[in-house]
Amino acid sequence: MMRVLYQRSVRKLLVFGMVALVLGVASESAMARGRLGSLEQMPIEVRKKLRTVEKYQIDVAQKFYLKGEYKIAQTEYEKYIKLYERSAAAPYAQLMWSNCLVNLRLGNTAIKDGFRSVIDYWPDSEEAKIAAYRIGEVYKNIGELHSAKKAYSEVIESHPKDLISLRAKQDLIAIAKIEKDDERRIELYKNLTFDVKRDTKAKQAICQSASHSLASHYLYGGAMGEAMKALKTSHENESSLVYYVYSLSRSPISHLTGQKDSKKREAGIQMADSVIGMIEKRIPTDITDASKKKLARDWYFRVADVHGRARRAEEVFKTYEVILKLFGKDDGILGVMARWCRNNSQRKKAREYYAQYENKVSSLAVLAEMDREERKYDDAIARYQQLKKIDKRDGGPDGWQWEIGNCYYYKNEREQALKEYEACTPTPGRLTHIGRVLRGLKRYRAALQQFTFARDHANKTTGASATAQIEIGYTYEIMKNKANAIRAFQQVCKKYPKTGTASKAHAHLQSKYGISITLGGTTEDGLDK
Amino acid sequence: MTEDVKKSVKDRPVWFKSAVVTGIYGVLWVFAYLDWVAWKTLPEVVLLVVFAKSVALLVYWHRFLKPMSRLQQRGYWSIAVLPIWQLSVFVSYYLMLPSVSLLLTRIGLAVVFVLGLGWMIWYVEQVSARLLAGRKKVAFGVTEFGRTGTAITATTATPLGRAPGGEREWNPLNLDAWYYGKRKKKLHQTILTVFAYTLTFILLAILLMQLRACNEIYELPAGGGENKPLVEKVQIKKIRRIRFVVNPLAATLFGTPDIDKEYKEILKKATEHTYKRGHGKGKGAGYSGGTKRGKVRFIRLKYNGRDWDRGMDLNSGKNLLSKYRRITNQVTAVDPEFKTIEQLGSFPVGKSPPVVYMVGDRSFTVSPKQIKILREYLTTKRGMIFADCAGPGGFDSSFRAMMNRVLPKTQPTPIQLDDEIHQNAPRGSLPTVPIVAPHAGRTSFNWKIGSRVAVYYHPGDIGDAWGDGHAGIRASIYEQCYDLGISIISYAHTQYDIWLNQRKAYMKR
Repeated sequence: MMRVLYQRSVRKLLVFGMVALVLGVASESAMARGRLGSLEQMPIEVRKKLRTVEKYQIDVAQKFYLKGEYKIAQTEYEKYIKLYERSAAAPYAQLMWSNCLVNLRLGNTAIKDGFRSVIDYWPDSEEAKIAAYRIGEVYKNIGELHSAKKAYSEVIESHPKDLISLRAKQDLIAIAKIEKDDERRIELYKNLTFDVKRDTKAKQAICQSASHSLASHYLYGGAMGEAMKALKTSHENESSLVYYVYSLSRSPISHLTGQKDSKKREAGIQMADSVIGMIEKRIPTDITDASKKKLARDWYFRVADVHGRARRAEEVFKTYEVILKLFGKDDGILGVMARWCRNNSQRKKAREYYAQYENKVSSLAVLAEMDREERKYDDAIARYQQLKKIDKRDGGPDGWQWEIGNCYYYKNEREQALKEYEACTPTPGRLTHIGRVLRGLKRYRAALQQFTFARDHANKTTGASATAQIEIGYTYEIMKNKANAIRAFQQVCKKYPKTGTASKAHAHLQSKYGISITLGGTTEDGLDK
Repeated sequence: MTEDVKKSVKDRPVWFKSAVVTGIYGVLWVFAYLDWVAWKTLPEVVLLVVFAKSVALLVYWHRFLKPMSRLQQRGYWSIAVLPIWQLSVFVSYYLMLPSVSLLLTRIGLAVVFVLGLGWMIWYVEQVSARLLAGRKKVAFGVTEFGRTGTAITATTATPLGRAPGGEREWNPLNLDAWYYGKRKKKLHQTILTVFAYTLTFILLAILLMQLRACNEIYELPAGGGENKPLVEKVQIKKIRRIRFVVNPLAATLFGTPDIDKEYKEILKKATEHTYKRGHGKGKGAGYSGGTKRGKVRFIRLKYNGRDWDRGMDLNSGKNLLSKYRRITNQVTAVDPEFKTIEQLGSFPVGKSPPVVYMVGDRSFTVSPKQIKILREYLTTKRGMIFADCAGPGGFDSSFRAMMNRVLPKTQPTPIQLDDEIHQNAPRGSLPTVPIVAPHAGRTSFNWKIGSRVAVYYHPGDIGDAWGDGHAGIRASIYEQCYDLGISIISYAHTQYDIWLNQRKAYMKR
């Protein structure tokens, strides 16, 4: 029964999470996923009404829009509006035309000529609602909060029961956060949590998110009861409720128990105890079933986490020991325990746990990492040698070989480090590092060779080429070859004007040499060609 | 009873009444002076009337005191110098002759210093002689002596550096003060007098200068215009020329017309410079809320960071001002200036700089007091900060941290490329942000108050592009950098002018 409930709640959470993802993330992130955001999609009923030519034109525009070529997409949508002015998708095309402008950072024009036109020409369309909301959103994003608030208020007033008004309220919460207007923020949270009818999944997701924020607010104030009230509006299922109580109370517990005020500290400890009590009630006693076993294990880890947040180190470890006793050894449990020991200055114990890993490669790698942290480079080298032999993954031995070189480098045995590095597959980044080592050994010519090689073989669009070029400049500088050094730095500014390395070279030329003629120069979007 | 009072007032001597009138005027004069240098509330004509009145009073007193002894004459003229000096400085300021005003200020200061010193020495001499006479009388019962300074120590009966009661003599006016020593007492006294006087004078001068500096004002240039891009239209009108069809062999003479002249005139008319950048309906390029004395200035903000003066040696501000003057036809200062944050706070509301330029490379700190000044400058005084990140050394994070404190309820947002600033650049809209080096990324940010851009933050050392040599970057980019700079200054001044007009209208209501 428990398992079924838990699985149901997890499924529900996943659905909510997905909906929130779709709704909460604006068009920009939708672009990153390569598909349109929820406010950018054409209603299916409208698409059905379109003729083939119209569909084709919309698809062409959409293709460019998804590629991020907004200028072309804008032209294509404009073409659509001109050709099929009376089409059912005309308001959609106008809306998308405005979205193109927003993405081109022409927000004011988008509002004035785009979204307002949608509202004026097609006031009863679904797109008009979206356009009204988008006006507020664009105002918010360009920093005109007063206008944004006004626009959102209009949306809420004209479409009080629509999903769009909930989104407007969500954005108003964000504005209240910026303006540090806590009263308004809480008022809106309460409205979304307690007053709104959650008749669709999308609305449910928004209201759930608001209830979580409200609960989090109460938890920071130590008001557990109020928080529970807010959470109960979203989670009828006990298991899901406990999970959210746990996840939302983690930071407040840590915050409250870290306070100097004893009352607040006490409130934090009480909160931790009640959360642990709630969790412990959820832990299944019969763990013969694999899924129940996993469930119990997860809850135990959460108990340990709450103890950690409440700054009770001993309890944390005791819980880990219980986990180990109940569930036996596995890399996951050992890893968590070892990490905890490592963070709490019990490095010897951490090593013991790491050594018990089933996966020897992971075990050796993490132990070598600890060796390096403790500056036991010889031990680390020995472990890397072992790793080289046992790690059969593609590129594995090469990576460990590089780490051996690094160990020698940090051990200050630079010549030996070079030998080890040379045995590795050269990449621009590695060559640049080798060049730096050579420069440290005062083998400037060889260093320059490495940097030049790295520069010429690196992708010009990445920073590696620019880094190699600036290193050439630094090397000439150490060689006291001022003219070549200046030329090299100027080349960085000229050839890679959009990179951060150009910024470094520019500043270096000015501060070190007092040279104002640094060359370079670019524009924000690279429209200077 | 009242009869008696009236009678007693009537019976008072004329000089008393005159002194009362002069005293009242003196108070008025001081108020007018303070208003001129600090408060800036009264119209300049009123101040001129008040200051000019001093001449009438001087003439009156000159007649009243006649005949005057030599000493009285000297005293009279010494006092008269002050209002005359001040009046002459004010008149030259009123007539907008800043160099004459400066010259008169300096000359007057020197004259006042010399006169004051003369009177000081005279006074010390007098008192010192009287004290000496008193002590000699006590010692020898003699009442008359020659000029002071002759065999002084020998005349005293009390031990050296002691007062008649035997205690140490401290009075600096007394030549027998212990710190004057045994020999060259007169010389030591004179040196001390000159030193003390000079010190007091310098301190007073600094105090007055502080008063003036504390309340420096910024005025917009008078005029009007529009904040629109410059569009040069050259229209060549075709001239209908009369063609005579004649027999080429006929004996007819036609005067050859001066075609060049005709075309030149038409061209001149068609391409007449009608571009007026500014705001309002005044005459010439400028701002309706401006004054004849006002001009566009380039003020750099000096803060607690080592690179606040970045680009100053390369004339970046000067070049921008010169370009601004050439493009907008507005009156501008020739040289850029710099002000500390504290100095920025001393500009009065309505007379403060519409925009200040802040540049830097490394991290910096700002005190809570400075934060308050900057907040007041951006909100109450409607100012604008034009910030420029000139290096990767930490300026970006410091500036953002500063702004979080200055405007805690505002967040930076990327500037829109169709914003008024970018749209109304002198040579058409700027489709992008020109950058010299991307020290803080490649996107400009702004902090808005209402719909007004209060802070424009350029991420890539725009100041370098204005400097001599333009950092060696392409002409297309540095010209865009100039355009952006001009547009920001112009925007700030326009916004300021709009606010000034609204304020004026509100005050009238």
